[in-house]
Amino acid sequence: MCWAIILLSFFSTQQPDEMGYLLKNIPDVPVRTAESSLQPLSSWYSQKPMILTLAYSRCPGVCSPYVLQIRDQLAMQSIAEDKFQMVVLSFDSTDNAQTLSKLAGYSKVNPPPSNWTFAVLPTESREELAASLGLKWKKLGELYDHNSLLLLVSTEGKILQRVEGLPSNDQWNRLFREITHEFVPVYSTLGENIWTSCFRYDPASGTWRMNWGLLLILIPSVATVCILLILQTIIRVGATKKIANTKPIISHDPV
Amino acid sequence: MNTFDKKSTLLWLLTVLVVFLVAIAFGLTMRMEQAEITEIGPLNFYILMTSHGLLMAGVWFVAGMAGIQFILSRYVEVPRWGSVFAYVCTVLGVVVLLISTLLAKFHAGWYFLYPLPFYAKGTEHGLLLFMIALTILGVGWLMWSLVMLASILKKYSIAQALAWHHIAGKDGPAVSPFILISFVSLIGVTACILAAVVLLVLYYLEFLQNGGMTSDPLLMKNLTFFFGHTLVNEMLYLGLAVLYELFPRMAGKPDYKTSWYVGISWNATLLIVLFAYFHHLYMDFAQPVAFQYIGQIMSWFAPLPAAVVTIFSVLTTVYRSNMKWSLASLLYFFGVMFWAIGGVGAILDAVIANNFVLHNTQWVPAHFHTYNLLGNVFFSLAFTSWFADEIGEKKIAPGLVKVIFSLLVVGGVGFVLAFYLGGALSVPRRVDMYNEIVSEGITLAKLAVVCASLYLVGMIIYTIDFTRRCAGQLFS
Ligand code: HEM
Ligand SMILES: [Cu+2]
Repeated sequence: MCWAIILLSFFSTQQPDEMGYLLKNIPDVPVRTAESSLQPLSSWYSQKPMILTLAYSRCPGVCSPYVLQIRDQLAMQSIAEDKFQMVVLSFDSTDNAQTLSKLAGYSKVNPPPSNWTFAVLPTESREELAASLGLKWKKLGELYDHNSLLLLVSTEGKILQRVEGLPSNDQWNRLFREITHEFVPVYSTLGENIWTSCFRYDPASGTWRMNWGLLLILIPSVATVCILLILQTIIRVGATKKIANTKPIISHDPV
Repeated sequence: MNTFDKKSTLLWLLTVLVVFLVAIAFGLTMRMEQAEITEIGPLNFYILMTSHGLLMAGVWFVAGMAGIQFILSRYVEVPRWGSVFAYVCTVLGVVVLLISTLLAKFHAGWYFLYPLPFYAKGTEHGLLLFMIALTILGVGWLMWSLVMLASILKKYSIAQALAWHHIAGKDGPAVSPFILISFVSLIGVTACILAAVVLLVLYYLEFLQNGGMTSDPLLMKNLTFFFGHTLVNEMLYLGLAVLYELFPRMAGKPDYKTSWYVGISWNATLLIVLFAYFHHLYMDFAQPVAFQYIGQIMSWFAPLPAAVVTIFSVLTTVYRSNMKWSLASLLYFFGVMFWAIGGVGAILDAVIANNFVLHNTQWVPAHFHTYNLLGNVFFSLAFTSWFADEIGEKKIAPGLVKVIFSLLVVGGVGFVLAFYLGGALSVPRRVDMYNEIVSEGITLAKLAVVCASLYLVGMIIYTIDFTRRCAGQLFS
């Protein structure tokens, strides 16, 4: 019973779909910056990796604390400013660089670091980019309902990391290691149709658990032992039958 | 010696020699491509690499099995159909394999690491044909090893065949090292073929459901190396079992006995071999860490019992003996020494810290070619030579022994040396062309081409001479 529940819980876990986006190319859409000219997104990621987040400044919800959190995390790192590009992109066409800069807590007296850029996504490109990044948004009157995303984009325009919501310490670490070109291992979250999986990911706790797929490794050895025992038994039984069938049984003969 | 044993063994050996020549030619062509002498292109390179790897593993595995079958039939009655069935399956399997690679262009490497085969370009039915080839080979070999295991069990119980009574110092039938080692190796062979069965079933399922089902790459890799690593290990032990039987007699010394330490060492080997394959997954960070430690420890211990006892036995046998150095005894003696050298190369690579540097460099083909080309192949050729001396009408010319032996040793050593140097210089393995960063690879490949050609010439002479001396017996 206990085992059944444990097994069931393995299968009912929800898989986050972060893996599905990895290594996919993002569209090189034009965006508007402070200079109000349209510039392709690749102008930021083509030279160095780009950390990208999407937000809008009128947001009554998570955007402000989200961007502030990113700012603080980046400030705490000792990674040089010229190693990566930080882009805060708004999907609200009423935004501009100043409003976004304010959202991140910067002002004239406290300007953002040189590798920060604030830009606005034109309405025409919104669908395309949102689809490729997995940004879900819905207009609610004047405001937007949306998820918060943090992405790391390679110089080839591929998504290297994608985090929904606030990154955990682990996720920050992976992101920074990727920027400094350290090896960042990724074990892909396997879909539900993989019943042989060795591990299951538990999104609630963010941990991995061993799954029974790992047990399949034991089959060959266990089967071999069984086969040996069966062979021996068959041969023994066959041999005793033979002896039983051969006639003269000496012990009965009086000597 | 009954005629069936003689003829079937002869047929096996002739087949092995011919396929070996073909497989060497494939290997030589790969080296020529790396040396920029030929220009066959990457697709053809990987087609040859896949064929070469599986042919070599297969051919020396069956050579070991044929040797075991021949000697085993001196102890117990071994049903003939096992060998016949395995022969038919082997020939059929090799034909389908060559169709899958040469014609259908399957080229995902001999152990077809998941999920690569499903992504291979330029091949339509290659994967299916390759899987069919493996299935035929697997069924034939599994049956053969079960038949031989059953034959041993007719005379000895499992505990006796594992020499437990010798270890415990209790009474019981005398179990020769040959029986013990054969039994241990055949168990390992059965286990690794069963791993291939599980692997193939998962492949077939995915294939038939056309992507509807996928497997966990980590599980697949574990199964793949359980199969691949273990098979390659066990086939060497098959050769050793025969060595234990024949070598002391060649030296005019009494037969080896199964002492308690021989018993313990081969029982340990039985277990250790099954876990050592974890060292192929050092770079797989998703593998449970405990497995990595087990892999490390088992890889260190793997060669100890079997190798130390064997080297010790062989050296003491040769010491103060009346050894008449024939081609067979030369090949046995040097085969053991090269096996030891290859083993050291392997252990160096199996140390996790070193593996970070050596992983997938030519160090890997360097060590496994050492104990295959100069170890396992030598064991089986020694058996072949001994067999030819037993049944052949004509004797081998003494001059020819020197020529063949020198060609094999000089060619073989030079060939693996090029791989070792390549590994030390970080030349990657499984690459058909080297760019300027590792341009030393090209020079080394040229050296290897010369040496491999020497080895090939040696093998051609050997095969012609063997055929001349023995082939007539096939039809007598
Ligand atoms: C003179 C004889 C031989 C030659 C010229 C030769 C040549 C080669 C070459 C060039 C490679 C590819 C190396 C690379 O990765 O860059 C290779 C791989 C390999 N060889 Fe040989 N070899 C010979 C003998 C053998 C023998 C005796 C065995 C086994 C009993 C063997 C088993 C293999 C295997 C398993 C591979 C790996 C294939 C793969 O990566 O999928 N070879 N050989
Ligand atoms: Cu291995």
